[in-house]
Amino acid sequence: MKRGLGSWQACFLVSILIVLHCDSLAHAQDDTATVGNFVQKVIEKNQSKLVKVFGAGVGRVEGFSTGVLISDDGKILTTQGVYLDGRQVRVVMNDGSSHVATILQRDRNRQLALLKIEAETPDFYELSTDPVGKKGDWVIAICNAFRVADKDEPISATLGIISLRTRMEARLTKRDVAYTGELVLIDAITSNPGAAGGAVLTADDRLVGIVGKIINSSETNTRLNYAVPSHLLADFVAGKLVEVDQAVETDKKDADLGIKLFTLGGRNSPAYVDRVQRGSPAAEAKLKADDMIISIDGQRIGNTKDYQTVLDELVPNEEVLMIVKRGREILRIRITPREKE
Amino acid sequence: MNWNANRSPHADPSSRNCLTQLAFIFTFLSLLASTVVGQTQSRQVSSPQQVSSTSAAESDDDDEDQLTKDELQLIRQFEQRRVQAIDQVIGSVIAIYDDDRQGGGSGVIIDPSGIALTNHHVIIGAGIKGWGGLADGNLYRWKLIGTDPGGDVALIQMEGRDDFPFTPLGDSDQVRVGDWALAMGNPFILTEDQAPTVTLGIVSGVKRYQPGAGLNQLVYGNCIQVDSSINPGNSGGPLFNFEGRVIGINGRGSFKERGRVNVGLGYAISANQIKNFIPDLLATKLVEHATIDTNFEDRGGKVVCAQRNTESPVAKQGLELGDELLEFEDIPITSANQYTNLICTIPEDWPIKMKIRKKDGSIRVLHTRAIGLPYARPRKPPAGGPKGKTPEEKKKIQRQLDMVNLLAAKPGAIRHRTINRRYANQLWQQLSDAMYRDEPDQSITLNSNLVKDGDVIGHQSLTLGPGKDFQLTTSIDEVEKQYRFVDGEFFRVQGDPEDAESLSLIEAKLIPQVSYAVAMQSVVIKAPFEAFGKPLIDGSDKAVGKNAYRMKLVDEEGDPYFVWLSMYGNDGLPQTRILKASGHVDCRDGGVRFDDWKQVDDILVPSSCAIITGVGEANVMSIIHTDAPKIESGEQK
Repeated sequence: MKRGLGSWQACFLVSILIVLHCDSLAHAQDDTATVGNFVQKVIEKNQSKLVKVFGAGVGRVEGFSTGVLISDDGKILTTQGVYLDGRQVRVVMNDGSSHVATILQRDRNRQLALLKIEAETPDFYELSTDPVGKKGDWVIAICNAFRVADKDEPISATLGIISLRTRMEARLTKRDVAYTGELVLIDAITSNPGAAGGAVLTADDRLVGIVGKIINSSETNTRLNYAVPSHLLADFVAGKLVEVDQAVETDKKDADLGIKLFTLGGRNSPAYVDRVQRGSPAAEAKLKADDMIISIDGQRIGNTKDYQTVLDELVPNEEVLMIVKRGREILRIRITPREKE
Repeated sequence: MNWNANRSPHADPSSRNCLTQLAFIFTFLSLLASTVVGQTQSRQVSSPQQVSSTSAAESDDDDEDQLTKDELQLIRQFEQRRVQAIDQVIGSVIAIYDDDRQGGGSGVIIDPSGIALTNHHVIIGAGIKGWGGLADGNLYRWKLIGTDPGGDVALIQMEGRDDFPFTPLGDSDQVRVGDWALAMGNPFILTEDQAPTVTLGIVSGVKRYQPGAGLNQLVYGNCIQVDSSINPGNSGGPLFNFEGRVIGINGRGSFKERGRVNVGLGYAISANQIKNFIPDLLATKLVEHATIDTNFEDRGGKVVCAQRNTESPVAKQGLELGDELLEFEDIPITSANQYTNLICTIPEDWPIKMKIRKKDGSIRVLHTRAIGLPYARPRKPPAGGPKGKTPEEKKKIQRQLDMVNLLAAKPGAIRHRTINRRYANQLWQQLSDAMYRDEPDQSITLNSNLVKDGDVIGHQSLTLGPGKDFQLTTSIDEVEKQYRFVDGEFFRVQGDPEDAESLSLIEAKLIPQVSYAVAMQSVVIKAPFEAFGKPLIDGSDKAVGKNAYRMKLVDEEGDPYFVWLSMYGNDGLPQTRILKASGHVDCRDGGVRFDDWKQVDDILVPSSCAIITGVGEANVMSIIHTDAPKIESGEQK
């Protein structure tokens, strides 16, 4: 997410003006040093509302994240992940004190988790039920990427702008994205281990959302930097996300064509159809045993392994083009996968 | 949004340019709209939701009436400061290449004579000499002077000019999270015309710790974390602020899982750490970092000594297991990590001050010198005869050998006396330039009271010159002593003036009163005190709580004398003044401390000084001038 020089200037102006007015700096005209202060102020003010979360590291998955306090009785929003499934989840506050957390709620589509610690937490975020921040606004992300801060050390801050408010479409393959729904794209780099769950704030100190879990393109090794918007967080805390969850769960079902391949030659043998299940999409598309699958949805199928990979990416009820070789003929077949039972 | 579809603009540079241009045009179109956003937001800051809806409703039709002239002015000033800071720094940024003009790293010149900083890991790749490109498009030769593998800093000398553009080091203790931070250097070796790349970001964290590699090497303690893009090739380049001061040297990023590209976390070695090491580096040393051979750990909210080597300097001073660390170098300690962070930033042999609480509750202050943290000795490259080797291969082997020799040098030892001597002479020249007139043909008398615990216990009178002679009379408790330096010889007179007792050089050096007189005389004659020898930079040190060059003068008998020179004045700008002088490195038999100097007429006099003892510079008595210096013509001796 590169930005042009021009947009930087615009950002500068916006921010400077915000500062000018917010802090009534208009009469401190020669004191340009204070112009940069809005970032400092936001960062300092928010440290006490942020926590470091430590769970279990599993393989290459890091066992830590960041969290935001959302009530005065120790409720914490953070990111969902296997790291919460360890023996114990520990939360370290801004003052370095450590607390054991219980998990109250989880949402696997927005990758959210609600934790609670037994402590009084007078500084916390009110979650706005309306969207906060719009395209081009400055944002400051405060998150403990790479676990740089330990104990009572302040959490790292990074600066960027909102690039776009958008929806993540469910058609993305599940290997790449474990998130469905609205999100706020930002150009501050936040897609780092441990950053998820950190606060994304506007220049005038309002919570845009929390840093989302890493979304990585396996093809380009690029990542998406985004925040889960505050109103979704509010819905999640209020327990209103459940219905959406089920709908999304359906979307995320695996696709099935009703084809069984010859597997005797191992995973590297060509994808020959062995059997077509009765009443399946393959049967409807009139596929036959001994057909060799050459491509699906424009992706070449060289062997049974490729077939499985492509099948994993198909979305149920969405028609794709399949090319098969039958005898000496090449056939183009339209096929609509069904949901796997 | 289809994320994958967004790949194309990134993959295709031409379309990216196009996007940038679009963004540019969009910017100007939206400039007016954005200004409006700002105003709306500010006026209604108490109801944020209303803000976004209102501002969203604004259109490009609004004009700039909403911006007052003053505001526009302020914005321009602010923009101007960023531009100015870049303009100030850009000329001093070096694109560092090896001797074959290959490879790549960055550096920054910090002194017009061409003294420059880079990373140790840059010179490991580039060798002990090479080429440095500046924004003026020229390539200059550089050579390595000193290096600090532990802190990843190397000092190089750029050659060919005496008026290099330079950027002074700033005070990195003033750096705050959220400050703007600019980085310059040569990432990915992009530059064709030697002009550096600039990146802008904020300070994401201060007092960060990033562990090192190998044995005690490349440790980033108490460092600055930024989100300014730091990529391979940026190493060794400056991190600087809007005042155009170097606040750090960029050296690493969190490159863990995605290859060596910026992921928004870059780290810079703090300027203040570098200041601690500069005298050692100019002294041509392979520098080690400090240790006191003691481990502290957090125990119930206290930082407690958990392990110690009984031979360690602090143990000998009385530190025991279980003692609580309260302060380190006058900084209150709240965690063991904080202590580790701090000790990472100081060189070996540094005078360390620690406040501890013993188990019986008593509080003690320990003063001691740190020892060095060793590095692994480098392995010799495989030996092979020169036979059958191409010139390139020979060159490569030579470069490996140079590096092995560098890293195999005795840590803390002066590697090149001639180079060291040259910097030492430069420093003394700076000292002299700041001080007195050319030829002392008059005598100067300084009268002082000697004060101990607030009481005047005696008097002192120093008469300097004309020429190089001086005479110091002290009178304490009715006992009068006189020290004279006449025709290159020291005398002590006690009682009868006819009973002058000749003193050897070593005897004279160890008398703190003589140190006071000699230091003052050095100032007046604008030269090191000849009889004591010629100066060398002995290394980094601290005196009167300030960063200091410890200068060592060795006389014909081989006996040393030490003079501490300041690196910076109170304003943070380079300033060379005498801070301390003694015949012993730890002032064991006493020394003299000059807290501050002031200009009186055309002579610089110490405005506050004292006779001291020990590494901790404990006050024996203060020397307080009772009147302005009396300047008389040479004949009235």
